[in-house]
Amino acid sequence: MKSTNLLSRLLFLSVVIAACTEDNDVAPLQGDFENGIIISAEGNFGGKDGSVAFLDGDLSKKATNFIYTSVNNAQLGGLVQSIGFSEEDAFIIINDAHSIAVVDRTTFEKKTIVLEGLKNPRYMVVEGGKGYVTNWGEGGDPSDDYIAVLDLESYAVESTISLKNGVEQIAAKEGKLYVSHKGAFTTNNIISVVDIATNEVVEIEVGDNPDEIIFDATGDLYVLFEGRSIWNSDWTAIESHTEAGIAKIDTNTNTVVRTLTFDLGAHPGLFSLENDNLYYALNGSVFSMTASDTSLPTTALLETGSIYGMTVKNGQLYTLKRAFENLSQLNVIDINSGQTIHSSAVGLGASKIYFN
Amino acid sequence: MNYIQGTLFCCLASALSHAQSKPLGQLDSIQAIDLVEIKAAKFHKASVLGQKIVELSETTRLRNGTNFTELLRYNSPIVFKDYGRGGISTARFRGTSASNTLVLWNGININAAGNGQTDFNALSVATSDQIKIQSGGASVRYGSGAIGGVVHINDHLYFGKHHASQFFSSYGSFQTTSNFVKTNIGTNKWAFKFAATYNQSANDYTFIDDRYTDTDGSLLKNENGNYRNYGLDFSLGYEISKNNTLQFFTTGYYANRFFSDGLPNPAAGSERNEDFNQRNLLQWSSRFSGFKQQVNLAYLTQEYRYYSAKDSVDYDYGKTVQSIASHELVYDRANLWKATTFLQYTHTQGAANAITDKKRQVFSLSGGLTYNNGRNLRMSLHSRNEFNSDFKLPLAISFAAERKMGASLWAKINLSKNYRAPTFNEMYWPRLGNLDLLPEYAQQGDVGFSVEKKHFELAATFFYIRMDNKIIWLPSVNSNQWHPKNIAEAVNKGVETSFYIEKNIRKNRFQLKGNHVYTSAKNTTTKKQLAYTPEHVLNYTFSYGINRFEAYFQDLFQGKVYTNEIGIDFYSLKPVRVMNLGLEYTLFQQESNKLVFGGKLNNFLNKVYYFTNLRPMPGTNFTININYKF
Repeated sequence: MKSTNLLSRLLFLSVVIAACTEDNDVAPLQGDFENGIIISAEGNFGGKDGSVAFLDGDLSKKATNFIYTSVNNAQLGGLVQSIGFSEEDAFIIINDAHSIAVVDRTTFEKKTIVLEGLKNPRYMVVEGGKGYVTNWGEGGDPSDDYIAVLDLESYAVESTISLKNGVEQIAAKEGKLYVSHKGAFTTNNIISVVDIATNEVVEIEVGDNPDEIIFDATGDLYVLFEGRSIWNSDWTAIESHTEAGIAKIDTNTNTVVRTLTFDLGAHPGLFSLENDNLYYALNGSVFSMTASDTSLPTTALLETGSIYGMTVKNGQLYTLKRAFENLSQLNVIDINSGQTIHSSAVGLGASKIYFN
Repeated sequence: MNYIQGTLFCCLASALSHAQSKPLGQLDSIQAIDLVEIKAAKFHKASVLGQKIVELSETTRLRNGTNFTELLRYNSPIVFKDYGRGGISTARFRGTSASNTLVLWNGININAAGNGQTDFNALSVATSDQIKIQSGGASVRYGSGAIGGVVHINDHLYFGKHHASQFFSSYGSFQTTSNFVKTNIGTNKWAFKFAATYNQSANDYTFIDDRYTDTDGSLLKNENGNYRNYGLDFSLGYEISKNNTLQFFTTGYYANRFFSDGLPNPAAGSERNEDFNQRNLLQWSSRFSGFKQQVNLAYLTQEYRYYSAKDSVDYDYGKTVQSIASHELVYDRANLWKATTFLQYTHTQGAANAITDKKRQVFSLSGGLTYNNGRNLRMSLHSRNEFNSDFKLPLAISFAAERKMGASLWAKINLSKNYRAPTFNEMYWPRLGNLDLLPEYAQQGDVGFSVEKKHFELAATFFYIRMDNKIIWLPSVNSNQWHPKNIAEAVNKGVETSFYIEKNIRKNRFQLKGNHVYTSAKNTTTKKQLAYTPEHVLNYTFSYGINRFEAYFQDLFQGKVYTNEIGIDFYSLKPVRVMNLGLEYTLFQQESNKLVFGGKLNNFLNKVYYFTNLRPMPGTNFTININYKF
């Protein structure tokens, strides 16, 4: 009898201890995320810890991190590649979980998660009432890249459009989709133009590894192609490079009308356009040029250090700086004065800035 | 509980009708076979001083017989990081890293040459005869990687006329089955062992975390997480003369595993991995005029094939071939002084699909002195010099002493300098490898005591590890690609305790056995606790036996861990508390015959718990098993 008592007491004690080890969750948040800045953070590769932060438009307060988790009591659960927006919704693209979390863009309350029809989704654009999501397919397979067409009522992938290898960013204009082919695990050098009505595809060759694409006020497309590094057979050293550059595509004729190339070995990244000024990042600095310039600038606009995300809005430069095993840092810099007017810590691996 | 017991009794009832039962008094008797046993590990035992070694009994091993990770998680001070049940699983002692945890098979290092780690879910130990957990630095004896601790897996051969076999089979939830057979046969001159194991699981458990559902609101399942593996062991011993013995051990293992994608989209899982491991060891032990000598020749191959798309015929592979030759000489003078020299040569060749073949040669020279007065004082001083074709390595050195302070109380100290050489992956991984890495270097010490009585054991050790040139994979500033760097210095300190109490009151048998570790492991720059290092870990098994029954309760607590070094809650895993209940019934036990039925209810409180972010472990599940020795 004594022994059964001991056992039951031990059991009881264990249950009590177990009940006490519950940890507090992230505090619930009821948010109004309009009129502000949304920052997406990739998280660590494989860590399933991507996140979203919000910053008030007047920059008066520090950014609020992990808004999706606070509102929905769940994590996004993967690498947050980018966010697409419709009138009502935000589409948080979770690359390695092959899914998209659909939330109300004002409250960030989860509506659903798109779990089917996506494979390594990258970027999304909304055009004519549908969502178009670029997908690598298997990253190592150059022949299975596609655009998933998302029904914005049912949030289901209703069809796909096959494209060449390495689809990356996507932009839309007047019933046409413009897709840069950065090359996924390998390389590519084209922009695909898809006519949504006919599914007809036109391919325009630019330089190697085109990533960011932006329309200017007249509707022409600027493409930043990053060039690539060619490694030796042992992958221990870079043997040579291909040129990076900025290409301008006339979207009426779908031809490259001008290309500016960088010195061999320079690999610019990140691209923004405001008031006919183009901005790009290279070797720890941000450069600026007038869109019509016929040569690249030789002096930097601002020294920013290595940055992982960048955009320009209302004469202010927004940069995201990645740290080793630490939160990223959002800096807002007034371009005229060069002064940093706001800084906030944002999620690990923050990479994209959107104005909501 | 009820249906479990029901199932169990059905099995028992049918078995009872066939078997002849024996008086219950024999339950306490041990299967005593008077044999001469040669253990590879025994040979070196005396050189391990001032450290805590936990040996897992057969009963313990069979209670967590499904996988090695689970066995050690509930019965050792090791902390594991696994990617869900059956997924990749790596081990950490005292807040060190997976590559600071050395796994030895009959004294031979079997950590993968590629990443310097062992995946504990790709290693079958069911057919091994001995598992020992040694906490603390041991580079003087085992070389690179023996910083946090060492897991020993040994095979035994028995000489003397005998025949002993064992059959074990278990079946449980998620169509999980683990099985092995083992046979030992011996004559006065020959010893022979054959063993085989087969394990598989559909592993399609429900993710019981209801914050994540499919679009219809139903709970998700662990998809693409099934596994199947098998292993074969063959060992042969020949006694050339009274003082000369030859032993040969060989083992082969194959695993086919699918890697689950976890939450939130398990259906996206598409990865598959195959492992092919083969190990051979020829050992000659001899004795002559006060000397003991052992020569080892080993040949090991390891290969993995990783399919990012499971149905694809294309895969990435990594393959290593290792040849090892070693010689150990021990001179024992009047059981008071012992001098040891140990020479080892290792040649490693590694290849992967993206890189050309890499080679590494290591020659090491170690030696030391041990003093044991046979009463109350033991001391040892050892050092090791390693010549590595890729690196200049620091001298490893250790000093240890044990002093008897009372009837059964020993005070212990062990001070050592240890290292880990960068691995092939860290150096040569396409685009990410770093040829400028330096070896990790640890200076560490253990100070503790142990009380060893017949029914009571308590051992506690304060440990301190100062780690320099710690290699950490970090994302580079401009991409989410990770590169290894000698980035951190860390200080790990804490207290590791193990306890064991046994008490019999009339027919009632009580036993409590467990481990507790407190670890403070901090990056010296950031002052933050290292990732995946809980401050507290506690595991214990309480068992109660009466007559033929043995009931046990397993409890595991693991404190909160951070998944990176930022140190905020968003990047953390909540404390884990899991409890299991088991029951065993011994149908009969004779001199060389024993039949035990077992059943177990795991996670009976159906708790949601995680060891990596969003890769949940199963809710309540069961196993039943049969263990027959004949």
